[in-house]
Amino acid sequence: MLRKKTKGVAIGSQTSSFIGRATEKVVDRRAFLKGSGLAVGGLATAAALVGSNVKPVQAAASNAAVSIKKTVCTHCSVGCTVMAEVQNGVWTGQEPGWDSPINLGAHCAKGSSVRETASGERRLKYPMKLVSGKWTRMSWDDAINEIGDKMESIRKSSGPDSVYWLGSAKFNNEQSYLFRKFYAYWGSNNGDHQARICHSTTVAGVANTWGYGAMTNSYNDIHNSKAIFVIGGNPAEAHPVSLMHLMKAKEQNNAPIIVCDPRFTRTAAHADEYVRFRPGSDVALIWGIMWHIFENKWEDKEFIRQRVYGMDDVRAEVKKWNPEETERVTGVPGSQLKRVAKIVANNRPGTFIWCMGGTQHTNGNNNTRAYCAFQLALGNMGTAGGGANIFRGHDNVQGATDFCILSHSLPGYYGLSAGAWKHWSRVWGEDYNWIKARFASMKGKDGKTKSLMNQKGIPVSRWIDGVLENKANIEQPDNLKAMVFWGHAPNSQTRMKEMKVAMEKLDLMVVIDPYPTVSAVLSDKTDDVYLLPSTTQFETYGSVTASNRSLQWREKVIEPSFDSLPDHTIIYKFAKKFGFADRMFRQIKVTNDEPLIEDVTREFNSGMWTIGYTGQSPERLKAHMKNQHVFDRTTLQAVGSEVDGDYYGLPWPCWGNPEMKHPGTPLLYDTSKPVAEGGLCFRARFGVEHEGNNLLAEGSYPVGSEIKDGYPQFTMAMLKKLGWDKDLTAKEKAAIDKVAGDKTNWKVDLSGGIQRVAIKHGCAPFGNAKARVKVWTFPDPIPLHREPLYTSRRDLVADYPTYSDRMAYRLPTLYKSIQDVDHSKKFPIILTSGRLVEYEGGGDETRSNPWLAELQQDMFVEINTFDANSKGIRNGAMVWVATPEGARIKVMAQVTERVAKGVAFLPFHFGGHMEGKDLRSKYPEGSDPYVLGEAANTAMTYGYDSVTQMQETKCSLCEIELA
Amino acid sequence: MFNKIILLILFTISTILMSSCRQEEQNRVLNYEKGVYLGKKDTALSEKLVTKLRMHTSRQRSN
Amino acid sequence: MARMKFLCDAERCIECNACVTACKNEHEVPWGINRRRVVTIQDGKPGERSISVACMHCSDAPCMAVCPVDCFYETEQGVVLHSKDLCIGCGYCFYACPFGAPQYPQAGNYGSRGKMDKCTFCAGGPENDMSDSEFQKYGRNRLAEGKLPACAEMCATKALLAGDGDEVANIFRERVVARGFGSGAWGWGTAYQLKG
Ligand code: SF4
Repeated sequence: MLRKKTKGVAIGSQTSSFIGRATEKVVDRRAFLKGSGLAVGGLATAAALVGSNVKPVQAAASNAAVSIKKTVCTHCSVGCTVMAEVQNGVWTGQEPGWDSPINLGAHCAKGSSVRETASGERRLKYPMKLVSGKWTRMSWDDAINEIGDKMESIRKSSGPDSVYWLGSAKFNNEQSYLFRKFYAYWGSNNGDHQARICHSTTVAGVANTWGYGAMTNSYNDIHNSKAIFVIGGNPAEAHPVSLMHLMKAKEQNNAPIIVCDPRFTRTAAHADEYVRFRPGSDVALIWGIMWHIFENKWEDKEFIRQRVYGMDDVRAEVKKWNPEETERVTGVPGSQLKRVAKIVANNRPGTFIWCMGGTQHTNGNNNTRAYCAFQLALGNMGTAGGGANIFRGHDNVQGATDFCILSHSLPGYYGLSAGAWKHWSRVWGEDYNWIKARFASMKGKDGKTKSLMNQKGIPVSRWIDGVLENKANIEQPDNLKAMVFWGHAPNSQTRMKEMKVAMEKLDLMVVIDPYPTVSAVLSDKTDDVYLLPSTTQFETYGSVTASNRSLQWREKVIEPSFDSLPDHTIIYKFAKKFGFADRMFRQIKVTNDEPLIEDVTREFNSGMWTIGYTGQSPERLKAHMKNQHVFDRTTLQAVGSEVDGDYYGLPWPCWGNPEMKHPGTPLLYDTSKPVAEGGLCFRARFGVEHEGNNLLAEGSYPVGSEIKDGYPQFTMAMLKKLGWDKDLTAKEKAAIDKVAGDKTNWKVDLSGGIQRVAIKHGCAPFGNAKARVKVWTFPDPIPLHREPLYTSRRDLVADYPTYSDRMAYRLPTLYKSIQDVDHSKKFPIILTSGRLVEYEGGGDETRSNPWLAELQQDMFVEINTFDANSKGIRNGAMVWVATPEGARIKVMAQVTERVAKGVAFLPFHFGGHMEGKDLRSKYPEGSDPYVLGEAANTAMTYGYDSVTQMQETKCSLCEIELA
Repeated sequence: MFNKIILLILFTISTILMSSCRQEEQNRVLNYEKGVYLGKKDTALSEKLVTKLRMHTSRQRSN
Repeated sequence: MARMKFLCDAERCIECNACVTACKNEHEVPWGINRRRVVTIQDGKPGERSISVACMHCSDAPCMAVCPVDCFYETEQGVVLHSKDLCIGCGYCFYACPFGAPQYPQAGNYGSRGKMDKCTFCAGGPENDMSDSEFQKYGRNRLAEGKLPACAEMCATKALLAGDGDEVANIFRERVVARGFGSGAWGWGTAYQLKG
């Protein structure tokens, strides 16, 4: 088995005691809940663990009435429904959601153990701060006041950009939106979240190809696939329930599964064709397959003619990737790639799935765009069974991305231009100039003063450099002085040794999380660190967006455990402290500092026109959850009932306002349906022509369109030209006039009139264009293979060099100067990383869940049998993994064929050990996760994507030695 | 005389010992019948439950 | 109703361990005890397959045959259960069981499910259905609530099937026909022989 596991006893000095505690706890709690004779013991234990002043868990007698609450698993983007059985306010049982069309009752290990998450005893229980190295309990009011005062003083001395707001994909949509709005009101773009380090290269690459940066089809739609192509993804571990849908296609359509991955994953174990390639050579591999497609004329010529721009340039690049060159770079024999090409050509439509293996690279945006080109060449886009099925990670990373908890955009991908700020100011009922005054400004290199309001902030992947970089080199007034880790695992980020130094340099560190996380223990700070307990999503409610763009409404299962507060309440408290709560929440009802979730939904409904988050009112979403059983399990369309015709979860874009009753868009760019019924075309996002070529679609349009050709995006002027402005109501006209008259476009028309009328005439509000495989605004317009910064193939560096060093997102960013140094002699093994099914992200939550922790007790490195034997390393031995930037981690060796010769793999969910040192004693008492281990990212090195600053986690170098 | 006392003591001890050797007193089965379960009887499932379980078996087909 | 059976479809099992945690969650099984576990063969190599294993509730159960105190019984639905009041924890059943199902928690009291502990097909034990003492000794009784075993209900890919043996076999057969090949229902020969 992969890391086995259940040896009965864990290794390590603390283990026996925590196993003891775990055992005791498990029995006690259930007995306690059941009100049995053991209740006294249970109560005593609970009290001891929880501390005296914390809300006690209410006792539930076994015969108390059971109420069922419907919620959604918080561990991945599949979005499995969880049925929680609650007795007297205690979550006593968990049932699978059989009615959910997404999971049909299925769960993975994480989903089937979420009950523990809600009231787990390893949670952070009350606000605390570090006083001379000791965790000291404090009240919420004191905490908010102290932190707020310190931030105000940093703001005074260094400007608003010296406080960094690091948010989370663990927020629900409403919290995400509020958080984004919150740091806008604070007056900085220095906010970001995990999307930066998971799928930012996907979002940028895909949105720049055909308009929207999201999964185009759905998990369920894979039922229609005739072939399944997975690259850089291990859904069997990362999205286990999605495999149910894949298996269905495999069985019923006889669809071959092709898995391309450097590692023989559990997904690969179920593949018909496993392609093992060298880490970091994705573009070469894809072009190598497309070489056969073009060579044999297997591409979909008509589709390309009508709907794709720039394919000839791709063809020219692909021509270089003949079987010999492809094998030289990727290590995959031409015969296998020819077979793969034939399979995908003969089995259309095929789905294309990718995850972090493709995105987390210095040339990640090239990878994702090469994938898009592949699907476009085959004509697999905009059709059931096809699509670019990008499996997102966290449960709400899609939603948090859509609300743009990012350093480069306002909600709905509006960007940071003055127009974008004005749009959102209108939505918020805010004075644009007031907001503007909140921001700092700075003299640029050209000598002109510019407001930082319109400048991209520092991305999360680079906050370390925001602290450590020489002040003169960064494009903001001062270094970062305060970090707020609001639902973020620091061990999900590379360069942790430097991160420790950065943390120690900060004036203020605030961790807001249900668990203390590695942030609490990594640094040697003795003061100025605060831990604030937030709730999990099971202790609040609101909407969450699954990977397929469907929104699901969670019910609150239990009241907040311990002294924790929901994130939106904490946001409100800070806004109040900073004195802008009344402005920020003017349209939102607030009770006891808790903003009303439904009002937040309605507010974003009124502004998110770009991507159609406008039709999903709380009422409609709740009706969907209530009627889950009426949705078809393949099309996701409701048959009968009050939601008849809707697609499950109103997948965005759900155009217009809720009254328009748009059913949602189940498959993006699918022209076989009218836009009003969920059809779409590619978005006209990049103008109407490029270098004299037409960028609009030719002769392709959604069914029922009155314009039988391509067209640009809709504006009021365009409506007038078409004579369709007559269809606008007086109210809509007035609203449009108020924004910008004729110049008002479909994105900023707050009445939704332009969208309504365009759709009435069968048109997509965003225009009808070609997808482009040539992104002339990116460093590599046509995706190129570039060798990783730390490459062992020095022979390829000259032919496929990386980028030159450059400024990006306010910071100097290194490429060539790193690649120029040859580390391959001292560090000959390629190091890559990835996921395990039992844990999620940094793992603080899941390693604190005894049912999961028991299954994976040791951090390990997978090393090929050949390498292990050559180095005298036996299975189970402790080894040091050392990397070129001077870090080394002590982990257990797992000798296996899973990785190729010369490649090693680390799972990244562990934390709490640092270069051989166990940091357990540094956790607040009773809040240490059951399992600790070295963080893979302590060893992972420098490297960032040229467009999005995505971190490189999939390709570095290391040396492994017996410890 | 001495023997009698010993006999008496032995008799008393054996009475005491024997008195807690009965099945009910020990609260467990003492006499086994080869191949026969002599423990507490379990309750049978009702017809209604059995029907429900059969329906639930089918839904595992999940399509 | 035919007897209750488990079936694990190795073509579908992805070793996600949902069954293992579902069981832990449902019955509060302590650390170190596994009523169900997932076993992988050919790990990390082509041909890798996983199977989820627990008590199969065999017809003609070997454990029952060897038990010196006859603590096992079979319910009307064919679920093989045992009485912890009768059980002496001798371990014979472990040697007899072809699936390694019986577990022996160290602590001797019911609190940590002492003596022998094994999968109950979520049918509790001889104590009154859904009583506290049944829960403490055997875990939840889902069958008495009209629910199937938690492990199968939560299986990510519906590889693990549970319930009426005929219906389980039907579902599996449909898949085998669709696939065009059958790798066999793992363990069925051993557990249910030809008796059905
Ligand atoms: S982690 Fe993902 S696949 Fe697993 S139960 Fe949760 S939502 Fe479903």
